[in-house]
Amino acid sequence: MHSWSLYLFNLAIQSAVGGCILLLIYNGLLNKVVVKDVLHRYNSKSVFTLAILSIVGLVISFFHLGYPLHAFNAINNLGSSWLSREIFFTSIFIVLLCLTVLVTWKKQQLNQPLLVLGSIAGVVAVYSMGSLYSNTIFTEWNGVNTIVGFYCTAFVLGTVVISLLFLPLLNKAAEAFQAIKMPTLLIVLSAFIVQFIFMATFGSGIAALNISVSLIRWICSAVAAILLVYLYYPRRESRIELVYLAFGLMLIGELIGKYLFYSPLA
Amino acid sequence: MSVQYGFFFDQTLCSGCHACQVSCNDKNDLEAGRIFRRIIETEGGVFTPQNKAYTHNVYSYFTSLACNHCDNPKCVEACPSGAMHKNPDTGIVSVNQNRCIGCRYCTWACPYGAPQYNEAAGRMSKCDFCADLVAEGEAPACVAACPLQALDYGPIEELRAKYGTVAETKDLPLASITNPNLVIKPHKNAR
Repeated sequence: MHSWSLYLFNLAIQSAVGGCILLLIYNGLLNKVVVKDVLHRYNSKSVFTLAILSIVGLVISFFHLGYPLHAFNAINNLGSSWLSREIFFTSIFIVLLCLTVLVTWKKQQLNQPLLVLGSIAGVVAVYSMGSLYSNTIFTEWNGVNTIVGFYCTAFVLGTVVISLLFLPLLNKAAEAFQAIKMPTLLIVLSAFIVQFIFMATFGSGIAALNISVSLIRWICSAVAAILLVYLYYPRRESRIELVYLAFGLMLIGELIGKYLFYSPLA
Repeated sequence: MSVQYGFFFDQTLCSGCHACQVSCNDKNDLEAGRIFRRIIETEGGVFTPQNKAYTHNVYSYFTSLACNHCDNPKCVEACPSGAMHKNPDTGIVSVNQNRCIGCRYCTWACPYGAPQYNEAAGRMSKCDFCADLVAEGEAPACVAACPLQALDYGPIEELRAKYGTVAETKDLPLASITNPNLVIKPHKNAR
């Protein structure tokens, strides 16, 4: 698949945008049950990781260009080109995210307003991303399924990234785990179900591209979701390896799903 | 004084000889893989047993397509850098090599497959209606080369007056998508 750079860019930006939203949600849930200093440590680790993730994604996207020296021209046609808009809003998102990292580090506290602005830019960026794919000659991408799928990927992968980053805290502090448990399950399961309905069924041509690979993808994600419910829902001492397995399977499901998405280009 | 140039293609005459493609390749120095004028062969029909023999309605025809220099070019709309642009004086759509970033998004937008990636330059290229020849009053290479005179060119209004206004066939994209400046005389099996 020679569109590997688009594949990685797409995943990276969607994970980063989802991660920003999840981080805001986690802060809302955790700021009453976790000590400020401890929360700040995890916050700064998270925004830094998300910033690196999105920057690396952007750099990788340059490998797709035939003439990278002209790259700054890419935002010339905001008036009609969804690709122009996507690059513009992704850049704004990354700038705001980097500002968040800096201000968070200087003030020793997560700057939520900046992160909110960044998240808004990110949400618009993902919308532009979905639109640029759905407004092409590839019938498998036409329609609302693409945008819905992208947002669901953002929420699922955002949850994977933030949950894994916060896992040491959640493992140590029972009240912290309690606070995020149900919202996390709710977000992941809703995203998974919506994604399944749109991508696997209603009019999406993606599943039809390769039925067996599509099956593996949905089995992965389903097992991950079920495992997460088992580990999170009742109050139990969960083995940390199983939690890693659940999130790992979720990630693999998304990787396979995105690979299927890009197969019209192969 | 502005004019909109276009092509006329007579599908009832085309023999699929590829002279148009070869002359275009020659004029534009195209290497293998870059095709500004594409020829597609369409076959159909069946053999049906009848008495002790067969009868058939088998047919084939060729479609020679370059760029239609559309009124609403999807490639121009999609191009993020503005490199893909429509000349206001001639209506010819071409790629500004000083702006193109080689992202190939135009190839995802054009229903006719006109934009072609130039590996060596890292940028896009396409049929430019032989703008340099046309400026001198000469015909585009493909039009001049066709031995059956199945291709014609000129201001689209003149072509439409002379040949009609059909711009799509059953296996071409709907004309309403991009409003191509193309007039086609469909083969009887292509209507």
